[in-house]
Amino acid sequence: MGTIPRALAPPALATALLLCSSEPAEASQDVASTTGVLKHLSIEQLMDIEVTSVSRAPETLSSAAAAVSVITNEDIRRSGATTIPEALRGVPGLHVARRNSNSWAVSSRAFSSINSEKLLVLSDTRSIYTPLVSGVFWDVQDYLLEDVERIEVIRGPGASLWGANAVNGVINLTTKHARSTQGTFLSAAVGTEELGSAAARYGGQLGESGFFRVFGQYSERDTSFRPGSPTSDDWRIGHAGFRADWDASSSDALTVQADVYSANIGQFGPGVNIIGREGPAGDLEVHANGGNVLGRWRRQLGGSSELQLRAYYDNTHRNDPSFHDDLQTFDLDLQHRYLPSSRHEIVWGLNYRVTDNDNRGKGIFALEPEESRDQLFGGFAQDQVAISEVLRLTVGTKLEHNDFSGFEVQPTVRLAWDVAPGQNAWAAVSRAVRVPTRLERDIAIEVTPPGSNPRGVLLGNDDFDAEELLAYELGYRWQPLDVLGLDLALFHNRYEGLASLEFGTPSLDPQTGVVTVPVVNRNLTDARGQGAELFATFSPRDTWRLIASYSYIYLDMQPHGGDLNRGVLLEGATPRQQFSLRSLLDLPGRLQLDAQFRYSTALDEVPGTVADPGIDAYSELDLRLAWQASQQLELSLVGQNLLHDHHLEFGTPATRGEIERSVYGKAAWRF
Amino acid sequence: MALLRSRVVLVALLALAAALPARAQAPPTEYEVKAVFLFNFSQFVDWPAAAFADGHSPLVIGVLGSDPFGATLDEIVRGETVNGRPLAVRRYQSLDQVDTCHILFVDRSQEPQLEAIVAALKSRSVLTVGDFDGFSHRGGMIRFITVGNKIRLRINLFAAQEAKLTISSKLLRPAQIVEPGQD
Repeated sequence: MGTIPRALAPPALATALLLCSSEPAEASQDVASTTGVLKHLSIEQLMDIEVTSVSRAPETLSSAAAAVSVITNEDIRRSGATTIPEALRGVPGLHVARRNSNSWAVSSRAFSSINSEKLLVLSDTRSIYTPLVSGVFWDVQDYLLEDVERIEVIRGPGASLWGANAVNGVINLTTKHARSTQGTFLSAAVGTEELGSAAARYGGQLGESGFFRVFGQYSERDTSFRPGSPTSDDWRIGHAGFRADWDASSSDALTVQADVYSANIGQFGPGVNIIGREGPAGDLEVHANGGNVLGRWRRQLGGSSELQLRAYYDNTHRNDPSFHDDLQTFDLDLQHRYLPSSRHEIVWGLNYRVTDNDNRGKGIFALEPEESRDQLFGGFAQDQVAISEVLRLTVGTKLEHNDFSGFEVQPTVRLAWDVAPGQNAWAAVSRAVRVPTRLERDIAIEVTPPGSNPRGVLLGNDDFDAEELLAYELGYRWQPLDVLGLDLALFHNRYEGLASLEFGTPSLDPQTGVVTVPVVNRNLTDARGQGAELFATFSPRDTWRLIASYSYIYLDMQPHGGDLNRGVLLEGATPRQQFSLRSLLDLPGRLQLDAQFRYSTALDEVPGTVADPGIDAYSELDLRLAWQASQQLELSLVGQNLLHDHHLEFGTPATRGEIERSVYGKAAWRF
Repeated sequence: MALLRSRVVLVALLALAAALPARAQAPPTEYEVKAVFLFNFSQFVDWPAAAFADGHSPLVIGVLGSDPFGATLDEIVRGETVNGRPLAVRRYQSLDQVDTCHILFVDRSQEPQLEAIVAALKSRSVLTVGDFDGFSHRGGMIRFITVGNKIRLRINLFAAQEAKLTISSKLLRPAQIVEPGQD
């Protein structure tokens, strides 16, 4: 999995292009001819000019040939969210469901599960996708949300740039440049579920052209609700870090950043469950800690060429009652963007990653071998061609080699058409893969009680191959009025070789007479997914913004084998329809009143080993009232999940808790 | 099979792209338009005589912080004059470098220091221009606002008057005016 901030690449393209390159793309004589005309326009006429791209605002995405959503710092603040998954609610095509106090299913375009294996998640270009289970441990993805600049969500494949596992989507989280976080920031919050949290950050200058910030944050959160059973999913996490940015010269920019965290996370039941085998019991708690350090160097090679080198080291430990997992990752990434002529924009890059994993089971869970070093290397190239004034073609591919499934080719072809001013259509065809995980290759556990005959064993499979997707996408964006924008995306996905658990060939041990029945991972399930995502923004006044999103998804799983893992249940794991409406209102007296309503249809079934009635449809509402008491002090009161005392969102009966109505108050100082 | 198909499509489209003899005139970029606005401000704002050393000294357009304009701004002002004065472009990394300057574009990199910048320039008749949130409410004079894909102006008239600058009605008419104390 390549993990480049494809800052310059097409899905990300619109926002990021101007971020990194302040040079105009055209040669200087072109600049002169364009601006020469502009100089003779009146102020009114100038105000009527449509510009190609506008930096750091959602409208920059108006010409990208992909389904992209951007959540800005302001969107996060005004949502009242305190965690990344909560901040992602309301993005069309995404399903965000809280299983209990400390775990979430976040998925794009179906296949909802706690692992969200077909979604690649990057934090400042560092992959936070865990190769053990192909997923994200959301409980340790802690951020000082104040310092998050934006979260970019690409629905659909992003694999031609980002590499493996960017199958159904990419989430790209970017923190602020250190010069934008100067001064002191302090905040404290107290509430009924957000029991207490405190954060501090200080930003200062390093010489003439350098900036830094240091920060620390601690949060403690309450349990969810479980009728008739004890709850123990309360959790706490502490997190500290720094970031420094230097403009070393007019053409060089350097970034160094590092983070450490430590968390204690309560569990309802064992993280690994095997029917008929006894797991760990008692008060179960996960102790997780980790840290990372990342460096990035950007060099401008003239106005139309930019080189970027980025390296990071990441270390995570997870001491779960069922296993102990240690993961070290080193990742090196180079990318180069240049404009060979006014019609072409080329981006290419190289990536190398090595992971060292040490996983020790505690009883029932085991990987064989316990230690594994896995490498990944790859490259990508992409050309965006201006075919005519109104047509842009993007072709690109990623080629990478991983130690699990060998070489993988992940190409894309995208076409964008500016139909008329304020109207833009796009289409794309892409291939993406999800590569096997260590779990799928190396697992070795007994699934029958010791001494059974026949004896069942779940074994990893070296021949288990990547899951493949061929995705067809269409999109249309229309801005009928200055104050109204519409964005529609349609997709048809064909999956081949999805993971399925199948019986292997039984063997008889003549010495003992024990028959061993292996269960192995194979690629015997196919699927079709299709859906529509609609996003609308409407600003009736300068002080009032409305944002609506609607998602429809249909998934048809086609098992061609035994499907012992009941992958077919994934069909019902994502709501068929979701709707959300947000209102952001500025009131006189420096008050803000924000509301977010969401509705989700029922989940027919939830992936698990036993039949389950699923989860009912639900509606919920969050409200936030904030008062900017002075230049320095902001006070806010946030109510979450206000419509019900408690409600279910996701998970099997053994692992889920109901999400309770909650309120918290927060004070934030800046000086 | 699926892979093979998409490869064929890819090759076909590449060939198509190569065959087309295009040279598209791209629409102007955001900062090209903003640079032209800056140039226009030099014609629609009157500075007190004390703001210039003499009748021929240049009118200076400054950029404070990272420069989002590249060469565009220089191209626009090259050879232009306003009331007989040549135009010059200067770039400043930090506030203390700002010397004689008449129009100052404050890049968003300077956002945290805006209050300090406004305070330091208050008595110096410098027209401050920016494009980040809150710019005009926090004492900046002209803010570029993006509505749809178009650029609009929001003017803090009070701040301009305090700095003894007179803004022409040609600029004020199409702009949004921010009243003092309004938020």
